[in-house]
Amino acid sequence: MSKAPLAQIAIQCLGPGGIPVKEPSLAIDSPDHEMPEIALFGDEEGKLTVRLYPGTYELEARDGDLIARTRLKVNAGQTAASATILFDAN
Amino acid sequence: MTEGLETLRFRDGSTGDSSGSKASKKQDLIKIGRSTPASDAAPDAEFGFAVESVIGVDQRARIYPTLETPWRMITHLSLIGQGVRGTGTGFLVGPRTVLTAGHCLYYEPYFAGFASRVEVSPGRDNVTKPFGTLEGANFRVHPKWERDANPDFDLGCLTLPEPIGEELGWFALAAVDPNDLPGRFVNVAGYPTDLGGTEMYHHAGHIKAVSERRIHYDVDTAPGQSGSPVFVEAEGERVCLAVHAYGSRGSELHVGVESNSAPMLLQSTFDMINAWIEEDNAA
Repeated sequence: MSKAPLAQIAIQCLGPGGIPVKEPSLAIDSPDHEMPEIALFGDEEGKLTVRLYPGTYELEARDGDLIARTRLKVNAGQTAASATILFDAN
Repeated sequence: MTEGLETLRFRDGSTGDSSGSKASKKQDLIKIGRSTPASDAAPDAEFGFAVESVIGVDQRARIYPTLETPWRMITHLSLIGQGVRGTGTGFLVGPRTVLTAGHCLYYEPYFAGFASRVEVSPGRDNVTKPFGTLEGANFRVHPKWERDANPDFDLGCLTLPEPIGEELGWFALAAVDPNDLPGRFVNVAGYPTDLGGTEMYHHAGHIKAVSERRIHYDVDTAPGQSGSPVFVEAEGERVCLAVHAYGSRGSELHVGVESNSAPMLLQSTFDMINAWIEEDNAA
């Protein structure tokens, strides 16, 4: 993984109706970086903060059997960003 | 299908065997587990892949109860850092020493350095923690992981406050000869979060490729299994050859196969881990 400056990423997991998902699990993968197989968890409001190097990332959140994914791009020089992972109403 | 026994020969021996006997410097290792049928299951349609690293059909099997060897020597890890919590896997390699992936203990993107706390629950099975939960301390990672985040050196260990390994046993370690590894059969067991993250799952498969410092295998894994032992059985002992760390996306693409991967215990890392174990034993 590059040693470029890290950007602080605030991640929020929301369910149908914008209701926070309580303590979802989250995995982060990237075609640009070798990402380890570690699983993260959001807090009771579905939030967590990570620091990522510039690149493209895929975020996958799970709430029981429900899965939601989103893609995030962190640009060089960017110091902060946010990502919202929405669980489908279905 | 159960495969016949096959002998592996390693350049060097192991230490810290769970039976209390000192393993020979050179030993024959015998594979265990089942073969992995091929599959052409499609990757995730939206992203072209799935974050978890199930290769083809998911063949992981839940382990319960987890009271017997080797499962009780494998530990659930609750990882706590600045503003983030995570799950990983570790395994006993000495009375008070748990070996895991370096990034379970030190990882700038998730923990802003070292994790602040790691809770260790050997043999955890959902809400049941048959051997309790211990607080890990004295986190150490390979210097090339800490300095360069080099995946080839993604190894670390922690110390337990009690010598619980004297009750539960521990994995032997082998310094491997990479030339002996291609095609060999290996086991991986840990705590995948796509299946809940609190229950232990096992799968076995073949080493598909060997790079300079990592082995690549078709064993199904998922986030949360980082730090799992990659092991074989040798004369009744479970012998760890590598520490699982990367899914198929994280694994080196130049090896040309879809696989998950782990840094091997080459002689230098084998020596470093043994020094960590001796340090813990002397404390």
